[in-house]
Amino acid sequence: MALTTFTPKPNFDLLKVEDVSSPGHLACPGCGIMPAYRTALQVLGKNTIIVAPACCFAVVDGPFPYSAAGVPFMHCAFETAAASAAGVRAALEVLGRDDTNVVAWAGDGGTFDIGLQALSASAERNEDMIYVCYDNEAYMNTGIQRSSATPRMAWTTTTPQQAPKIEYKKDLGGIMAAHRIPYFATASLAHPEDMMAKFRKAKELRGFRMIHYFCPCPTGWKTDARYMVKLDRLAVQTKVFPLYEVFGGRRYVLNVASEGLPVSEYLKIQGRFSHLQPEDIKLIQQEVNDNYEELLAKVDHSNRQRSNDT
Amino acid sequence: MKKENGRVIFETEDELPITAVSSASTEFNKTGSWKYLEPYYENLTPPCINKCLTGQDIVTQLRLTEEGRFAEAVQVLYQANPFPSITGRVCPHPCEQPCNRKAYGGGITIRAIEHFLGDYAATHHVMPPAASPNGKAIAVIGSGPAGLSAAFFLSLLGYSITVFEALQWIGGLLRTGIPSYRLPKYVVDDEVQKLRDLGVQFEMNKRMGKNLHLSELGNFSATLLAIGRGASMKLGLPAEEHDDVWNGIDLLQKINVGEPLTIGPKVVVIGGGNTAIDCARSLLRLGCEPKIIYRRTKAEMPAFKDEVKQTLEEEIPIDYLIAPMKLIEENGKLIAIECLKTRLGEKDESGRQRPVPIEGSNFSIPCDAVVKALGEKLDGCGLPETLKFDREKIIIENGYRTSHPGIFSCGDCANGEGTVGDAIRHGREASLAIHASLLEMPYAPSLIPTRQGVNPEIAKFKQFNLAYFQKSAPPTLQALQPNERIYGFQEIESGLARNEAMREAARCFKCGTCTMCDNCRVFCPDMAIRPKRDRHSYEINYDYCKGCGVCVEECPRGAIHLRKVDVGN
Ligand SMILES: Cc1cc2nc3c(=O)[nH]c(=O)nc-3n(C[C@H](O)[C@H](O)[C@H](O)COP(=O)(O)OP(=O)(O)OC[C@H]3O[C@@H](n4cnc5c(N)ncnc54)[C@H](O)[C@@H]3O)c2cc1C
Ligand SMILES: Cc1ncc(C[n+]2csc(CCOP(=O)(O)OP(=O)(O)O)c2C)c(N)n1
Ligand code: SF4
Ligand code: SF4
Ligand SMILES: [Mg+2]
Repeated sequence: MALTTFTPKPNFDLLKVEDVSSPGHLACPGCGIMPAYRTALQVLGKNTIIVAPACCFAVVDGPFPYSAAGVPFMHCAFETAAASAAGVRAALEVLGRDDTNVVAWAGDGGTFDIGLQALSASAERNEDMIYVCYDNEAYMNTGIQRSSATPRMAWTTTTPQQAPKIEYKKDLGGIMAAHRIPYFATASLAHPEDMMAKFRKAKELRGFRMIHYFCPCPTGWKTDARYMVKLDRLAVQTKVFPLYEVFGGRRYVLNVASEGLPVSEYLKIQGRFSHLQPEDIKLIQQEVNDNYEELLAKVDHSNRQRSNDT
Repeated sequence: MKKENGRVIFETEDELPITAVSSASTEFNKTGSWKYLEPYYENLTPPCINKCLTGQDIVTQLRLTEEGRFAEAVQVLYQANPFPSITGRVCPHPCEQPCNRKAYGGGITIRAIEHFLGDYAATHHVMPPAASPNGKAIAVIGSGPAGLSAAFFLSLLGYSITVFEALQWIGGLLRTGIPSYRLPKYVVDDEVQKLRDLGVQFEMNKRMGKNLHLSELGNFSATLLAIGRGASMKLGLPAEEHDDVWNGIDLLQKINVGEPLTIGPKVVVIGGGNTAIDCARSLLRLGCEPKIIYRRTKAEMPAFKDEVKQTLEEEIPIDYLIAPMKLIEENGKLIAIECLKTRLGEKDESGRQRPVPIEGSNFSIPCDAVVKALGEKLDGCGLPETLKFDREKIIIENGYRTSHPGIFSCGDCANGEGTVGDAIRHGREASLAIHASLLEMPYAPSLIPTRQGVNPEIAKFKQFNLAYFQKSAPPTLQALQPNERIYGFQEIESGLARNEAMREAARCFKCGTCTMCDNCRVFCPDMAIRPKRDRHSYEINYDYCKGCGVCVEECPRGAIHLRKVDVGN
């Protein structure tokens, strides 16, 4: 793989786009929610409707009558992000407007867990929306309870050291690919151009599009606020959160080759992993390697399919 | 319902919407009040700039070079150094020694880039912005790098300049000392032409104290003495005035200006400085068999390390711990030099160990000629009596003033440290000193405009975010191989190509210096950073900054810092 993980300096002109969102929002210092939202809206523009379930984002946006979103922002019940967004799309259709971006923006709890049924149903019907999952790997808004996106052995208030989480993190990409949706992509705050490009692609496509991004939460991860981008960068470099796209549920593309830095580099700056013993880290490394191998195999397979086609 | 400072106030219950619809932005909410740390921008000093002999703004030069904006890079150079094609070849480049890039693939070849920019300036006739004449004239005595640098800067300040030079050649040691395999003479010619184009007048064959006297300089508002150190040190041995015993700088002058000479073939060069090295290497090129003897060891040699290395590559023997004792002649011709072995003893004033001759260790080296390259001192002959000077130098005080009113002095004859770069800096500072004095203003040592407001603290490698830099090696500098170079005086090192210079400039970290890379603006979670109008720096909106420190962490080059905010109790 000849791709490089060197992060080029963001291009002044490329990223110099008009902002839709505003400051004054309520995210904790160093929270990853709003930087991605800001980037997304720079691409999607004002003609966008946001649908968000109960989660930090719903709070961060601001209390009534204030909003940082800059566009209509509809709050919905915890388990209903995808269904509500589908409803908004249907309403727009009735009004004869088809140029509006309908975006569901939900946390990992609202996506991997309680919202999964609505998500699966909307994906299966190929509802016309962009579904963004910001993955901070726990239920942060209610006090850091574990979700099915929490990685193995990470500390949360419901998986204290005495009773560590032994279950694997759900493979959201695999689940969504199995729905054969037009577009699925992972994204990282440390790769702003890549993230922008993915929102641009999502905007241009129609049907069910999904972007899953890795969203540091300094509060819940017990880490320094200044590490927001660094953690996302390390997650990519250590293969913990590889950057890839899936087209039509089958064609896999790897966007940034992970350097394969040891996972300990990523783990060691987070308090939620501070109790780990060397053998725990080894297990995590093994899991990360296996996942990455599996991803590479899928990418290879798609590449071979493509060369057979042409 | 009314809005006050972005806040929405519902005055009656009827004004409340039926369902909760937000009608205002969060901008009223000044989240800046949350912070207990705050970021701020402050450029730190890159280690290279701290060590540059002329005081150049290396980082700005490299930023412009990286973008292919060579003429602008030359203009930045001109603020400190008028002669980059010269220093780009002969400066001992102390700037490169502390380069932070060394720890990440290899230090930046700053001098090679300067060489490229200097040649670019010469071939493209890049001239500094012209000044309007101020009607005053200044006399510069001596046309070495110190005098020429002063002539350049004084012209830019509007003075009309006449340079008086004792010899028939312009350039001082650039012309008569440094051999052409290191500094081709056309390079010096081009730089002199640049000065002529600025209106500088030259009067050759005018030696102060001999055929030029202070009384003739009455029309000049000030006089600057930049006469270098022209007198050679003596061995203190009998028969030292022999025809086969040469003064190093006299020999180099003959070779450099192409006068015929008969010497050798076996020549012993005494000394460990640049003069010794240049004499030996020039003699080798003339077909002689030179040998250098030095009374201390390699570690104490004052010659530039690169030069010593090249000398050894050329297989010129350097014998250490040897002191000359006696010149042996036969039939009026020198046939050998008798020497004593030495050992290193106590430290002397210079901090180096003193060589102590070892009794009875006498031996002789057969030779046809001896070159004394023992160092140079001030030639005070004919200097005005009112001028205070000692054997070493003309005494100057702050502001390059001598004891004689209206006479200033700089370069090797004053406090110069014996390099071209230092002489150039002296020339610039003395110009500003003269200017200040004529305006009856206090002299303040010059600061390059682009470096104003920069924190003198040195930017350190550990402050950088290496995720933004690739580990990469410097270009290999093209140079003639020893066997290709010892048969003539053609230049050894060729400069970088245009794209190599750009690539090398891009490799520079720009230590501690904001380059508007935009990371901080893009990553700020609170949208609190925006470029200032001038697009040369950013400003932080402290109303919203929560003090997370992401910008500090993601600044590739350590130009943003965090400080505590006073939050009271
Ligand atoms: C052999 C040699 C090699 C060197 N190599 C290097 C090198 O590679 N890199 C480096 O940085 N430095 C090198 N140096 C040191 C460097 O050349 C000097 O430090 C520098 O030239 C000093 O500049 P200056 O203008 O003060 O004096 P000079 O260059 O000595 O110029 C003085 C000028 O004044 C003239 N003059 C003297 N007396 C009078 C008078 N009474 N009236 C009128 N004119 C007068 C002289 O003829 C001369 O032209 C070398 C020195 C030597 C000797
Ligand atoms: C049906 C329902 N159950 C529980 C809650 C309480 N609740 C609100 S937000 C939240 C956690 C959200 O977690 P996640 O979706 O991961 O978003 P985060 O807060 O981590 O950003 C919970 C459990 C709720 N609002 N509705
Ligand atoms: S708790 Fe975590 S996810 Fe929620 S606003 Fe704070 S940093 Fe963001
Ligand atoms: S990396 Fe650049 S700025 Fe830093 S010391 Fe080296 S040349 Fe100077
Ligand atoms: Mg969550």
